[in-house]
Order: sequence, then C-alpha cells, then structure tokens
Amino acid sequence: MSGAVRGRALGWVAFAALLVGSAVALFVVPADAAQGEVQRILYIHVPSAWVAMLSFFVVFLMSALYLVQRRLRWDLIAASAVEIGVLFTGLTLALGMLWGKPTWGVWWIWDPRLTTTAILFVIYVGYLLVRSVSEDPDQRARWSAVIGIVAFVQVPVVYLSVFWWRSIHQPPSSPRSMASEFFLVLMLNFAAFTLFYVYLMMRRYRLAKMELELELQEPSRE
Amino acid sequence: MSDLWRRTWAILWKDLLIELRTKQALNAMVFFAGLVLLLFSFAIGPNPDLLRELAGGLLWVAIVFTGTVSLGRSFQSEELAGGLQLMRLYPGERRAIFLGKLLANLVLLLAVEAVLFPVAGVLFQINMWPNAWGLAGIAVLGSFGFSTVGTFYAALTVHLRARELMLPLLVFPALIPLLLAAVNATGGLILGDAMGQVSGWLRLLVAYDVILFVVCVWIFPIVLEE
Amino acid sequence: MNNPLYLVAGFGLTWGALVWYAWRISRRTSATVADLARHRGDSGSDITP
Repeated sequence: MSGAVRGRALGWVAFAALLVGSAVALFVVPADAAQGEVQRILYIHVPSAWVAMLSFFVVFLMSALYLVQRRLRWDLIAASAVEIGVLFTGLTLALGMLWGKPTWGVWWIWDPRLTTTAILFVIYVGYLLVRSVSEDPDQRARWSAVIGIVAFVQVPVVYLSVFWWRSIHQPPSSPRSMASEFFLVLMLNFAAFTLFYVYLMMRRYRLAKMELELELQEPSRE
Repeated sequence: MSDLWRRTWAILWKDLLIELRTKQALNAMVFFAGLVLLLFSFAIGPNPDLLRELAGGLLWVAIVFTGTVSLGRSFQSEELAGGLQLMRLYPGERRAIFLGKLLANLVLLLAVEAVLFPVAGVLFQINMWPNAWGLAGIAVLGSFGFSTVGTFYAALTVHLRARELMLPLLVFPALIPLLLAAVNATGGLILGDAMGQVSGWLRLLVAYDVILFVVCVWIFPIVLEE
Repeated sequence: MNNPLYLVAGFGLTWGALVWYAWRISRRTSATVADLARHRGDSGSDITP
C-alpha cells in the first residue's frame, strides 16, 4: 500500500474506533451510581487530556531533535503536534466544564488538573502565535524549538504549584476511582483517541511539509 | 569559568551604569509600580481588611507588570546601536549576555521593590518591619525567577513582530508557579502564617528558580543564533 | 440534576471538533497541492513521499 492509501485506511479505522468507543460509552456501559449519566463524558474527557499531554511530549522530543540535527522535518512535526495538542487541550477544558456544571453546580472551580490544563492551553497557544509572526523558516524553527522545550519543563512545576495551591483550600475533587467495567470502556476510548491522534498527526505533518515547500517555492530536499 | 564571570560582570556593569547615569528607567519603573498599586486599591475599594488580605497578591502583580514593561528595554539599546551583533561574535559570550542582563534586570527590580514594599505598607496599613528580612528574602527569590524567565523571553522576542504583545504573552503563563509561591509566601508572612505554609511555598520558589535558571542558561545560546 | 443536554453537548462538541479539524486539514491540503502544481507548472501531481 502506498503511504497515502495507508493514511486513509488508518483514518477510517480510527474513525470507526471512535464511533465504537462513543457508542459503548453512551449506550452500553451502565450509568455511574453516584454521578448519573453525566459521568459518561469522562470516557472522552480523560482520553482527550491524555492525547494532549502525549502530543506536548512529542513537541518536546521533536524540539530537542531539531536543536540537535537542525532538520526542518522535526520542526514540522513539532508544529503539527502543538496544533493538535492545543485542539485536544481545548476539548479537554470544554468537556471538563460540561462535566463540572451538572456535578459541581458551577462551570469552574479551580480544580488543580483543569487549572493546569488551562495554563497549558495558554502556553502552547503562545507557541503558535510566535510561529505565526515569524517569517524565516529556520528562525521560526529555532524559536519554536526553544519554546517547545521550556514549555514542557514548565508543565510539572505548574502542576505542582497549582495542586499545592488548591490543596490548601479544598481537597482535590477527583473524578477518578472507577470500577473495572468502566475502566475497560475508558481503555477502549484511550485506544480510539490515540489512533485518531496518530492519523491527525500524519495528515497534519504532510500538510506542513507541503506548505513549507510552497513557502520556499522550490522542492524541499531532505 | 572565571572568564564567564568576568564577561557577565562587564555586561552587568555596563547596563547598570547606563541606568544609573540617567535614572530614567528606574524612576519610571518606581512610579509605574506605585500607580499599579494605587489602581488596584481603587478597584478593590477602601476596605482595609480586604486590602491587607490581598496585599501579597497586589504587590506581586504590580511587580510582574512593572518588570514586564521594563523588560522590553533590556535588549533594545543594544539592538538599536547594533551592539547585539558585535556581542554575539565572541564565543561563549552569549551566556554572559544572558547572565549580565538577568542580573541588571534583577538589580533594577529589587530597587523598585525597596520602595514599593514600604508604599504598600502605607497604603494597606501593614507593618512590614517585623518581617522585613523574610519579605526581603521572598522579594529576592521571586525577582530572581522573574528576571530569569523575563530576560530569556525578552531576548527571544526582540526580533519578533508585535514584540510588545508577544513578550507578556510568553512570560505571564511561565510565571504562574512563581506568582503563586511569592504571593502566598508574602501573604503568609504579612498575615501571620496560621497554617505554617510559608516554608513550603519558599521551597517551591527555590525549586522554580533553580529549574528555570538551569534550563534558560543552558538553552540561551540558541536564542541568540543568527 | 442530570440534564441530558450536557452529555449531548459534550459528545457533539467532541465529534464536531475532530471531524471539523480533519476536514480542515484535508481542505488545506488540496488547496496547497493546487498551489504547488500551479507554481511548478505540473498538473496536480501528488507530493506525498
């Protein structure tokens, strides 16, 4: 199979997996005794957060790789990973709020994980903005790589500080403890989301390569 | 290694002398910081208890705003005179540039805080003197972290379009852990640390300073590449 | 307090966002392919490696 066909096949498989995951989460698994139907959102909220973190880790790796090898391919992968990471981070936040409103009664309660997610959102949007005002591809790659590394270093520090900040004022409200059949559904959606993430990365990277080629207005040599 | 310190010292001295000769920037910074504090006071209202409780937060936001606004200057004078190009030519000098400018920004910020803390004491009816050393320590640690991150991003954004917006945009989120630690430590000291939290926040502050300093110093030479 | 609206909004938003993003990439890719072809003077050759 050629690369393009493989990509398309992956796309359909991932799409199907997402469908199955959502269907099971919505119609097959029983509702949570304590939280009711709304708890089902967690089956897509948690995998969404996972994909975002995975993506930002990829950004970190690619940024380091670029700084070592100075090959634009690593920068393009990093940029793709940031964009997709920001998408999933935004999704995580929205889903967290949609779960939170019926559960806590308010849209936002400064829960440490959600707050950290909001901060990450801002940090990586900053990365995208810096890219958008950079014109030279090499300079852009260099600055992006630097930001990509420093941003990832910030993640644990931010989480620890916010966690500590919140633990003083209230015990963490964790939507975490789950019975085993719930865990399986969660794993199913983890797999589906990860698969779809890989598909999106492949497509986004391909686009990034072409856009760079267009920008340079000559075929890129790698 | 002593070579690095010599170069750092040279840059630090140069930048400070420029500031001290005119005192332009320093005066403006002090005034700006005081103004921010005043604005907050008006926004919150004349309730002394409320202001005292929020004092830590207000102080540090004023410091962060003042510091950020003056960071833009940090590399500007070189850029205008073409100095940054010359400075870059010396190998191993890039880290010295970072350290020198970091320390220069730190000194200026501390000078502002030396005035700002007493002013806050007056405005918010707080007696700072019993905790003077503790507050000074927090001020130094917090300002050091700020200067590290701020100088780093200032160098990075120097050549960007929309630089005035890009710098705060990058710096503010990076400062959140520092802000949390500094505000809570300061507030804890001022309000009489009922829950023994201050030492924990101080440890976080030190950890932040160390981690960010190491990463920024290590990566900085790449920022100045051409 | 279990208004089904939140569930619908959550899953709907997720599906909407993911499908929209995938479609956006697809659309931009086609546009870029067309632009590249125009610049090279080819007739729409696929650039995939």
